Amino acid sequence: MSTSPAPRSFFSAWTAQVLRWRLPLLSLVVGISALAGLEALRNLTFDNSVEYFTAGDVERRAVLEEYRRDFGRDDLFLVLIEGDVFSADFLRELTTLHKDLQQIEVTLLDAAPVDVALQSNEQSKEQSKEQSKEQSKAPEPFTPAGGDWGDEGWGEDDWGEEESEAVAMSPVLQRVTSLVNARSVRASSAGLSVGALLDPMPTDMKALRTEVLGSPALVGTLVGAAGKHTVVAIEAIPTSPDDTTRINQALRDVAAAHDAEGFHTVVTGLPEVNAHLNHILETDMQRLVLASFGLMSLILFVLFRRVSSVIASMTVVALSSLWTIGMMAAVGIPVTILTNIIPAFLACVGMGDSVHIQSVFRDLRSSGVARQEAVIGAVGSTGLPVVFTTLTTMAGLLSFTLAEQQVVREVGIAGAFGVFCALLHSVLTLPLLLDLLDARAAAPPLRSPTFVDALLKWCTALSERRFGRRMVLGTGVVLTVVSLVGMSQLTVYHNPLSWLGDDHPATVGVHTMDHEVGGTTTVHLLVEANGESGVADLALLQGLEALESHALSWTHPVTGEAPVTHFGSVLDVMRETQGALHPELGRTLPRTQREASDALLLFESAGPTQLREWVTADLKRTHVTIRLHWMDASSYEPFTDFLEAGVAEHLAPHARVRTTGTVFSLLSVVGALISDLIRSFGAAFVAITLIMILLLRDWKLGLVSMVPNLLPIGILLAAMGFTGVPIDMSNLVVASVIIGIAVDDTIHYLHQYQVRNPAERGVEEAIHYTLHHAGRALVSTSVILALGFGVFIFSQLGSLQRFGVLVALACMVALLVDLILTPAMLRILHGAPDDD
Amino acid sequence: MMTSLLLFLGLASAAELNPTETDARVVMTVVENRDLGDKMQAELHIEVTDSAGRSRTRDLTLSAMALDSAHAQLYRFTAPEDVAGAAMLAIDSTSGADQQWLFLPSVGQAKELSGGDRSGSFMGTDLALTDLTGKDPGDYTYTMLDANAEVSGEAAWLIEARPSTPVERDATGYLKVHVWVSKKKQIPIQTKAWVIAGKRIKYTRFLDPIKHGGAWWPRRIEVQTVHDGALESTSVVTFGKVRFDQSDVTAEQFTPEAMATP
Repeated sequence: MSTSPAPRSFFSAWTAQVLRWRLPLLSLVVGISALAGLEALRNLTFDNSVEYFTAGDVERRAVLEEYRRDFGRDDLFLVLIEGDVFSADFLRELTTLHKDLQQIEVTLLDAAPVDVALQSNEQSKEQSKEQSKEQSKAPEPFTPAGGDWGDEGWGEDDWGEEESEAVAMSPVLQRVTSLVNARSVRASSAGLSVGALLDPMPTDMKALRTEVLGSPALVGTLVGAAGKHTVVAIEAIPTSPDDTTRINQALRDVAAAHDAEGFHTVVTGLPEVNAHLNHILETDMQRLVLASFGLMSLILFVLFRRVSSVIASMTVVALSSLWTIGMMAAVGIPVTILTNIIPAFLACVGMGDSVHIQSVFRDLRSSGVARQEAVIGAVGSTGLPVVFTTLTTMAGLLSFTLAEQQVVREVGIAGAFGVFCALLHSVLTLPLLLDLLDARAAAPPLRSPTFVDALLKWCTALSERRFGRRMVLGTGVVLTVVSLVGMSQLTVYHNPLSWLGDDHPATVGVHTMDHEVGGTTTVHLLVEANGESGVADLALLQGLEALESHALSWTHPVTGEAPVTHFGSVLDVMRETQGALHPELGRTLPRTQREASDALLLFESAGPTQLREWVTADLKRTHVTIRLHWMDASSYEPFTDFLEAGVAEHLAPHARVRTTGTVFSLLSVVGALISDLIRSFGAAFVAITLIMILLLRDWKLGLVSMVPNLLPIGILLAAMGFTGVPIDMSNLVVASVIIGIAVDDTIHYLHQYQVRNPAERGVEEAIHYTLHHAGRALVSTSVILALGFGVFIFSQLGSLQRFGVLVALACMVALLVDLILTPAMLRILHGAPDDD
Repeated sequence: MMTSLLLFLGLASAAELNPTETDARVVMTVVENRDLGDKMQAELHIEVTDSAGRSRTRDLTLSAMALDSAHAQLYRFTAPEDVAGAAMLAIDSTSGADQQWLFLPSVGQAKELSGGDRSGSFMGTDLALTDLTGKDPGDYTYTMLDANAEVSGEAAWLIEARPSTPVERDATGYLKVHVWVSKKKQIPIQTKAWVIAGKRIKYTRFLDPIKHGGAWWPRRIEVQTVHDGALESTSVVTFGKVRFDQSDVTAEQFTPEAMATP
């Protein structure tokens, strides 16, 4: 049961060699760090797009890609304008705004437009790299089939000086839709015209108001029912997340330039929300990590009273993060809402390792041991538990590589790499720095605060007596049961808007859009007609009409609200055309198959451009766009279930129908992520247990050690359940962070316990030895980490605030469990005197 | 295109062009005024394919003739079955506005198509309605870009045609067109048009020509529309059984009222 001296000798010998070769090794560390920093500066990307999160779900992405290929992107930029819509001044300004939005100037930084749908993430990266290479050579213009076009191929200067007259659209945009160019089907005694609503600009505003507000295709999509709000919807080309942010900013600038009394503009929509989130993530990450590091440094200084100790520990943490971020940049792993916690996580790991090593180093120095010998002794005595804490943490993180979702696998890969870096810097860079920076001949005796000693003593004394042990264990059992109850209260609620807060402009914009116009988000159906008549099949059209009523009747099972505001489909085109052909019938569906075929042919001839928005060239495919109020991701499941039941009832015989869309993909991602995390956590639990048994060479002790590892997680999840903090994409990994912290505490505790050989010297002596050698370091690391993560409460994002509070609480819970429950269990397991 | 694809019926015969001609207006005037015969009948097969490779086809019959102050074309759909019986009439007036009517069997009468999409598309193809009508060289400025161009080994003039009036430019929807005119056949063999709407480029090839009287007639037209460097859609119009001077093509057939009569 005792720890073999061989590994300790190994770490002593290792440290001696490190110190011997300190200059070359220090140069190597500096060189690699410089390279990592350069790589991070040049290539690190931020990506929280749904496309990236759904990269692994090939089937759903294929449907989304099919949809986008046939009908364009559904994640539209929206410019919401408030004012007296049906006034000549407003419409003139709207026309100008529409034109200015069409002609935004954005320089895309990425070499090639990115549309990674249909590909796995690895494939998309490869392709993106290939595209970049190709683009860096020379653009390949379209080559017309056959013919001999000489120099007449596509060229940038082809439009010559008349470009300003000819440019109808910025090259970064696909489509801009507003009342200015909204489809207008007008019937007259002579015939039918399909054109743009404001071309020419109507003079009779009253008639225009009646026409627009009477159009089911326009109300709820481009104009509010009260006539006080209208929307310009902008579809961009596929771009990288960074370029999407640039486009969004350009649109904001144009919208802001037109903002005036009576014409109030605000940009909204999913890209706007994502742009805000990405911006906050980027700025928060820099600000909070700096603040966190600053606070940790301060506590380290208070603890060790040495600037050199602070520099040494923070260097381990900083270099671990830097190397990891450099690796992420080099292999193309972006910063996401999941991977952005890695620096903070590495702060935990690196801080824990370095504090444990430095505690022993300071003890040795204060007892008069020479500097290099103290370094060798400190690493020699703590190297083994540091390695095992690294192994368990890596095992926990590598379990994420079993996940289906690429984003989760990336957390595992980057995290495990970072933890290994933390180990490397703890046993390589830290000894070098301690040797280099600790210039003073003799350090003053380390004075730990008396309350820490008192706390340690009190915690241990709680289970010295049989009654106390039973009370502690009983409390542990009660906490376990309460935790299980609390965990059953956990809810899944993924709503990025809630992270921003109610007063954030993006939230206000979304809510205004929802309540004044008709919904910010959309769910889509890709419909492939079975019949010979294709989309004009009357039975299909009738089925679509039944589905329309079905979808609009949905009420939210919890709130009771009716969030579905609009059902856009080819029905609008068919009804408008039928109404134009048969004014006496109004906007109704064709009554016969021939009427349906004729209506589609008429529209094909009169408005082919507008028809292409709804039907593919073969007239076999169409789509449905269902507009909804913004909801949390978990609310979409009951809706899509309801919708798909309607599809099965009304459309199944007539068409193949698949649900898709950006929001739908988001829903799928959240569901899959939770499954992934649960599966990964199970694998981590097994791996960590095995490593604990291996480390402790005692299967009973190994199993018992998992109690203090798991109980903090249970308590934290229960706290989330009881307080209504939901599980969302931003805190899904919190359990893994907590187990990483808890396992580190437990390993250091049990390693020191075993070093004292309780079988020979008795449980009480082993426990007191453990408290003396590891207790203060455990308290120090826990307090440092709790305060370090506590800084996240100052984040601009509610999700990060919650994450910081949860981890801070977890640090303290894990500490208390290790200090109170672990000795109680050890006393029972190894027979404390009072039990005899 | 600035140079009409199909119909210049009943116009006076033009003079032969000298292959060394360098005056773009002379070349284009001869091309625009070439005599392609009158009272024409043909069968058309149209295939429209999108960028994803999905396509639809339409089979039609075409009758065309020169009226007093207009050129008239009557298209009747024959396939697929669900659109058979529908018809489209286009009147290209030399003195007033052009007009189009669509006859739908379920409605029982012709409806005039008017308004915004005239320069956009002919029956949902890459061809614009304006491509089907004749052009007055007086409405254009021409520039000889290359008097010794070649297209697949065939000697050609490369001429730039620009609408000289805003009205003409709005009507066609083109900023300019580059036209390759075969020196041997004296017809356009390919064009490249700058479409103002959406800043698109439209490549058109005229293939498989036959000679009728003194002029050549392309029996296959391929149009590819390119947007932002990417192919957006392709339309292929194939002419079959092209016949001229058909006595059963009469002026009475080219009225909205007559469209109901097959």
